[in-house]
Amino acid sequence: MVLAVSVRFDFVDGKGKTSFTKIRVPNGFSIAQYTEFAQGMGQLITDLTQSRITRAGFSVGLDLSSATIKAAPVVFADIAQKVMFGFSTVLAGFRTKMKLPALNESKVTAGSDAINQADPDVAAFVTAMENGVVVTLGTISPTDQRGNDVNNTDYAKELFRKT
Amino acid sequence: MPVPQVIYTVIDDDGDRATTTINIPTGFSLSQIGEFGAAMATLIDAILDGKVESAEVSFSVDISGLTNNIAGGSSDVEEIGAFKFTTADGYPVNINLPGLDEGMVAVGTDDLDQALPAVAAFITAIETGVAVTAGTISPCDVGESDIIATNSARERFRASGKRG
Repeated sequence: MVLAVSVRFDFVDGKGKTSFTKIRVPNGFSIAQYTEFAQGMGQLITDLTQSRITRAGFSVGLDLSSATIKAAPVVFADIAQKVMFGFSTVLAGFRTKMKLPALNESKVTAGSDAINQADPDVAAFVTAMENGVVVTLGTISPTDQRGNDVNNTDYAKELFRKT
Repeated sequence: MPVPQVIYTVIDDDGDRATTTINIPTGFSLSQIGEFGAAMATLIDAILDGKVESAEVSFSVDISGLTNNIAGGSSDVEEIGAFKFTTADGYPVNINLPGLDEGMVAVGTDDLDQALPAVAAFITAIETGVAVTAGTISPCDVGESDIIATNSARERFRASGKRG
């Protein structure tokens, strides 16, 4: 079940302390409409507080019912075991990284920390990151935080992090 | 302006959760992003022993147009405007606003003065919604039950670092 859309406001006070609040709104509106709501509500909140709104945003739950997802985590799956991907973007020198938790051990090349990029599942993911996913009337291709298109995989390796 | 982020939550065999984020360009509709999110979930789940549990897309909003959006010298996020609302289905919804303007409190009480224009405007917006292009967006609870009434609006104090 997809939950209501969450509109979040972040605040800072005169002493540098931070906090946030959330207001839920229904699904079914457009990005532009949610943006208008957040701006309008942001002004109303500003008018009755003395703190400063430092960020406003909204999160929309995605329906994954059409995705093929395993019924349950594999026994001994652990989010501490991760794969880190390093990507380059179309803008020279701008790189981005992402980590996927609870890696399938079989995707690691024997005798190394490298992920086997010839594995069909890994290759399909890497291709989607580099070239995008076809959607109705377009293709959505992942970017870095600045919007620079990801176009190359520099490395993919297993690593472990504290939970 | 930061680009939209698709955030996946993965759960492992212990029940522990972690998230991973994919940045995507602006300019796509929620429907298109939904297609992307489901397709990418399939690809991610295939290389994990953990299970992709949920996904959401997060957008940042331009707030440069807000007026008087400054922190008062004595403002404190620990001073909260605590609103309690009721939905059409009878469920309670709490909304806490950090950094409350002391001038919104009725003298001699902990109640916010709901006759003040700023308080009244906020309550009206929560109960009846905010007009947007071609519609009105009215706040609700997590299950999308519409907020229809205000039970209380009070000044509260809470330790900082907690949810506002």
